[in-house]
Amino acid sequence: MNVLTLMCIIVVGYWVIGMTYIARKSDKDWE
Amino acid sequence: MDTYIGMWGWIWVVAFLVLFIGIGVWGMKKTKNDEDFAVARGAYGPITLAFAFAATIASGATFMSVPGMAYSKGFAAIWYPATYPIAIYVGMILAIKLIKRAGDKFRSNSLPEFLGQRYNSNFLRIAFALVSILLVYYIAAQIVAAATIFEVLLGLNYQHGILASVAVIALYITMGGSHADIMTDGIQGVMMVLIALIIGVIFFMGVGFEGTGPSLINDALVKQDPSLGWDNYFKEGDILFGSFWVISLIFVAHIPFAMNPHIGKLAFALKDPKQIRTFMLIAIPVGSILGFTVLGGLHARALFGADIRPDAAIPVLFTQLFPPFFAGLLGVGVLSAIMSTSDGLFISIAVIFSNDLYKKTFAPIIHKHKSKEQIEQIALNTSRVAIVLVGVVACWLAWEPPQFLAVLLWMGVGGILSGATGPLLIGSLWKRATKSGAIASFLVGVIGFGASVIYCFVLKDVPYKNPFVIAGLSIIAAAVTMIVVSLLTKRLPQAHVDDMFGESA
Repeated sequence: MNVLTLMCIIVVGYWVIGMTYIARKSDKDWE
Repeated sequence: MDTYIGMWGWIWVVAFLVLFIGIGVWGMKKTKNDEDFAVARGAYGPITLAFAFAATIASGATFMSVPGMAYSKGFAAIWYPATYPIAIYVGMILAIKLIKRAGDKFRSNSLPEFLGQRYNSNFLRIAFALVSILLVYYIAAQIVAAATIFEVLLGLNYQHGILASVAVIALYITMGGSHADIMTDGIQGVMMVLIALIIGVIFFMGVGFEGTGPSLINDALVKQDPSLGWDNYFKEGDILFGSFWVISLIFVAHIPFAMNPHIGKLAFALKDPKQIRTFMLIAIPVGSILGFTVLGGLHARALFGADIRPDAAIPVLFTQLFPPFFAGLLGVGVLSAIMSTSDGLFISIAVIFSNDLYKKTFAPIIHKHKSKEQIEQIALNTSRVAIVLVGVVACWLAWEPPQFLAVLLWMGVGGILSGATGPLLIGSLWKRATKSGAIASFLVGVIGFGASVIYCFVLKDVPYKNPFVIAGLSIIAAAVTMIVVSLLTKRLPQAHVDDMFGESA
């Protein structure tokens, strides 16, 4: 695997994990 | 290589500068007191702020230094823009809830003021405010970048470019304060995202080559120098991308990045804490997309070889691939990146003088007989005078860019981040954090970073002159100090902790 592919995987993985984590929290969790 | 784009560049630049000054006039009407000027509390929704947040983080470096690194070092450089946004947004997720909730409750006008309130400590407020003044070097670096863009695209004399950049930013910020800062940043953020997407698309299409796909760019790079190609995970012997541990420390150095006073303060402008979720959901992809600019550096190197100045890789790419009408618009986008960071920095430094030092420190002593309204008016005027003074100092620093400007810039940022890690980042998560722990951590971070920079850059000729590494190590030392000293020292009063965290601790 070249470094460009690895970075694409890291960035997309971060989007999926990060946004899923935030989306699953309710509005009240941020108050 | 001719990069002058003539009339279209001037038309776009003048149009956008007029727009920003117009926003400054609009912001002035909304600015009634020093709180409006400093933070525009609760005035904006999550979409505007997410773009403003990303625009403030992205700077001249995003469109000039980062592509320049890729231009010089090849594919190994893409570690940096791929990973640093992750670190910044992880840090923001960890800290934003307390900063927003308690900051609004105690009506903090700046992160130094919030820090003082978090630990009931005047020392922390004043010390963090004084260290944050070093952000003026950050402004100077942005002004150098702006003047370079004026020079490359418009053929303007470098010194005239400095004066024009400072004059426009100082004008709309002096008038509109945080309202002008956030609104211009929101617009600039949208432009920057569009430009970063264009850079990404033309890279993956291999525009300029016969055929399609990024492998064409890789092949062209390998033909020039095999170490530039994408089979190199690291660039052997390089101080920035030489090994995994160096890249790991760059990641660590960016975790507290949102604790910079000009970035963290944006949380105060969000209308409602409930909107943090939407804000983060937009900010995460937007922040990463801005990292696509690195691909422009690789693209420029593949197309034009090693003959152009690395920092000018993106402007050259625009002017050579696109017609002047479009290249001018893209050039304005790069200016946007620079201005959106500089304006937030201007405000933050001004607020340090007006709020953290005058209103909270000196006014209770020298103006104790003045009314609250009088003090607020003096604070607001102090902010505006401070912006002019900061502009003068930034011009002076940028006029003849010192050889070690980048070092001085990171000496400020690295010191601030090392100092903020324990008290602000860990203190936002950990109710057991104590005042002694926060002070010890702040001192270890700031002094450790400052002493290491002086040792490595001035006194000794060490092999790794990398401010990210020094910042990363100082941040780890500050975090450990925060935890150890807090566990060994007296807790903050329970009522104060409950007040801060809004629940029974």
